[in-house]
Amino acid sequence: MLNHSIKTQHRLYLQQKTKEKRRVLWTQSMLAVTFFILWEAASRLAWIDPLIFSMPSQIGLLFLEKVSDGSLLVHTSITLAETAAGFLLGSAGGALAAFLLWWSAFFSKVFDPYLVILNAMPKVALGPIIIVIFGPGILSIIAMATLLSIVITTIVVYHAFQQVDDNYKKVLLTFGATKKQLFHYAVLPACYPTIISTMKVNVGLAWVGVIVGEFLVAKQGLGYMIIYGFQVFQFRQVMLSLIVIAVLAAVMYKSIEALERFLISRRGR
Amino acid sequence: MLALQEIEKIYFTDEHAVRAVTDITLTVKNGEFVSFIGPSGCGKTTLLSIIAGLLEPTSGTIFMNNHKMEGYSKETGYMLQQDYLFPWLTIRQNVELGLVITGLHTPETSSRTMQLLEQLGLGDKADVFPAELSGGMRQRAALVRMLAPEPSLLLLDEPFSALDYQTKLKLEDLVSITLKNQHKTAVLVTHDLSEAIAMSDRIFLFESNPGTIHHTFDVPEMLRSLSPFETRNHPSFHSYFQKIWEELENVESQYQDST
Repeated sequence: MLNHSIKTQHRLYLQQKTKEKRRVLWTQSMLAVTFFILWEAASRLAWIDPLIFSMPSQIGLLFLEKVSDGSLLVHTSITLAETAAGFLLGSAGGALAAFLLWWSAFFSKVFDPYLVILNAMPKVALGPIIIVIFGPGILSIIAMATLLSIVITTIVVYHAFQQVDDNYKKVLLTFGATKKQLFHYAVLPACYPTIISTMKVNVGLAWVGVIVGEFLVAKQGLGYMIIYGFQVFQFRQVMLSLIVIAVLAAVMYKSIEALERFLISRRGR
Repeated sequence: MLALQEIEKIYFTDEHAVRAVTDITLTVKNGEFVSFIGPSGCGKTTLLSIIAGLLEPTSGTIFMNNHKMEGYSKETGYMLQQDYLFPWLTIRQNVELGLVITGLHTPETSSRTMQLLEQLGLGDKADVFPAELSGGMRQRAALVRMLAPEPSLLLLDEPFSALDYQTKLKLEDLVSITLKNQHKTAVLVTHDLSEAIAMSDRIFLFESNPGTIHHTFDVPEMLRSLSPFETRNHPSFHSYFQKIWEELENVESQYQDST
């Protein structure tokens, strides 16, 4: 009897949860739909300048056009490749630098002031130097994206390495662990959450670096589409690129989140 | 046999050089259980870390069965105040950590460790994560982790201090019986005088500034043969407790007078 009523209550609880989920999703989609409808209407009724703000239907037509002539795919894949490269180099390079700083206390003391300067420096200001070094092409763009994320990754991850509870290391030391084992069995796994959240930030930074880089030098890519559309007053194209960038950046962010969930489920926490 | 000869440890800070322990000479027979007690700052934990090879003594030597011990030795196992099980590893992976680190991880040592885990009542917990266990269970798992590489000398750094009273009493008995059965030598550092009496064969009372041995007490034979819980309930326990308590008070007041 009691058991039965608990089951009913549990079913009710689950029903309520799905109901709330559905309501959130419904409101979310309605917000998006309303936004696009308002945009379209405002532009058609000339409440906003259609030349500058364009309208969703026009952007949709341009999208179809650019997809069918293949140019959007080319621009998108170039930008995506640059972003992925910048993101991976920045994250991996930063983590490696953090490891080296952790490994050698002398090293970390020596490099401390340089890291502070590099971190405070607005990396975009180095744009011209980067172009001179790497040439006006993809390499410069990747370098810009990498530079934007590598320093902050180094600092955040190294800090996390230092914050690991000494007692975990003590447990390993009582078994005679080597420094390599300390890192492998205690320090690195303890820092996975920090490393993942740094990667999430780096996705955004890599996009900033790539778009700025493309503004400066590119002949192709979504950033190039924006700057070109701006120069010839083709704001339809600017808007289209923006939407594509927003979607892709969100997808990248979500895949890192999926990786995070996968790692956490493996640790059972 | 564990033998310490004139161990001294000096800590250096920007302002001072502090003598943490000095002139420590003692021996512990194989299979014997001894305790270090004393006021805080008397260097008992420092000394334990030195025996464990975690700290290097400034001078003096340690012998284990007539071999000089320097740094880490396979003979020693160490138990911390808290379990410090790795939250990202299962209990099985946690207790086998010492085997992996020391390179002793084989199917035989692994199954032996699982047997020990079972003996301590954690057989069904092998594949869960530490967060799902109670404090007492976690400390039992930490005990298995320490025992897995089969050390002969066990160093216990207040391993019961973070537990609630009831769990602590049970775990004292469990540790005491497990170590007696396996004929291990043990050194326990504790703040708790009754725990020291309940578990030990001999008690070293330390004094501070600098940390050194003030007095050694032999626990009476009839208390030694009992389990910790039985010892606590024995008629003579209280008077013996009083005797050492007074000495402990002396040491502490002496320390306060000198500061």
